[in-house]
Amino acid sequence: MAFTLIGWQESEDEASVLLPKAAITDTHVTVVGDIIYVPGLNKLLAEYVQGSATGRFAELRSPSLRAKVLQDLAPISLAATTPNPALFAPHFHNPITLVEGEGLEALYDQTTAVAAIKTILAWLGDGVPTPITGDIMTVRVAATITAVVGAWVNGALTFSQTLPKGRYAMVGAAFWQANLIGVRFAPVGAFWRPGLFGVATVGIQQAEIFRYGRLGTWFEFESLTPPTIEIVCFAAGAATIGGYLDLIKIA
Amino acid sequence: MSLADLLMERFKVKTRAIENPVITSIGATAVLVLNNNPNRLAWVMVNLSVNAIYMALNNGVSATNGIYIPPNGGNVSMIWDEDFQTTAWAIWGIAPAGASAIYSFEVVEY
Repeated sequence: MAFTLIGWQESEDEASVLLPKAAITDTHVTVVGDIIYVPGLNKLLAEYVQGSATGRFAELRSPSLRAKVLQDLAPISLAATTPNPALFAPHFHNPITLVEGEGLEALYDQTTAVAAIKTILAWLGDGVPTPITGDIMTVRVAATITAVVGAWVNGALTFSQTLPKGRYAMVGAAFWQANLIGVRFAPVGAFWRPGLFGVATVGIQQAEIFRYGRLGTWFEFESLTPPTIEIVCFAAGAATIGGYLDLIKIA
Repeated sequence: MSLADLLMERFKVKTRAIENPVITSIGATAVLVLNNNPNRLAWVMVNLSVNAIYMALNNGVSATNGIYIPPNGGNVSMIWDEDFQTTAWAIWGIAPAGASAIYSFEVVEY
C-alpha cells in the first residue's frame, strides 16, 4: 500500500467562519492556492488538525465530498504548537474515496479575532494498509533543517549507526522537535511522500499506527542511498529534529 | 584482471577506503577514532605525534587500559579474517599528553 502526506497551513483570523487554508507548497502534488489536486492516491486515510486555542471546526471539501458530506474533522488540537497523538483519529482501514484530479480544500474556523497558524495534514493512499511483520530494528536518526512556514523543507537524515550494507524496508517512524508538525520522507527514486505528524519531545508517545509495521512498508531503500525528510513546522527557523526509523532488512 | 575483479572473484565484495573517517587528532580525553561499522573489513591507525597514544574498544581507554601506540609512526591495525568481530567495533583513543595527530583509514564494503 502506498500512501503520501499533504497539508495546508496558514495564519489567519477566521472570525467564526469556515475559511480555506493555503495549501503547503509541494513538489509532488499540484497545488494552486488553497487547492491540492488529488493525485493517483485518491483514498483519504486520515487527517490531523493542529489549530488554535479558540478553534471550533475544521473540514475537508471537494466536489465529490459535496455530493455526500463535507468531511468534518474531529478531534481538533487546540494547542498552537506540536501535535497531540491523543487527538488523532485515523481511518486507515476505512478510507474515503476521492476522485483523482479533483481539488481538495481544508477549512478551519476559530472565534478569536487574532490571526493564528493552523495546520491540517491529510494522508492519501491507494487502499487499506496491510501490516507487515518481521525482524524489525529501530535506529535513531537526526536532522537539522531550517523550517519555512507554509512549505515542506527538505533535509538530510544523519543515522546514529551505520546500517549493514543492504536493502531495507521502512515500516515505521517517530520524530520530535519543539515546533515540528509534519514530517514526510523523500525516498531516492520514489515519488510519494509517506509521513506522519511530529511530537514535541522524545518523551511523548507517537501514534502507534505509525510504528512497527502497522502501516506496512512505507518504501524501500539501499543502505548507501537513504531517504531525506521534508518537514513543516509551527514556526520558521532552524529545527534540530530527532527521530527513530523502524526497519526490516530485506536483502 | 583488475583489483576490483579479483576482489569480487575471491571475496565476493566491493570495497573502498575512507581516510580519517572521524578525527585527525586525539587529546587527553577519550574520543571516538572509528565508529561502529558493520561494513568495515579492515582499518589502520598511525600515531603521527611525539606522544604516546592508547586505543581500546570502549571510552574507558587510558594509559592503563588500552593498546599502546608508540610515538612517531607507531601503528595498529585490524583485519576481518584475523581480528573477527572487533574489526567492525567502535575504536576509542586517548593521548594523555594532549593533542596528538593521527592518521587512520578504514576499508569498507559498499
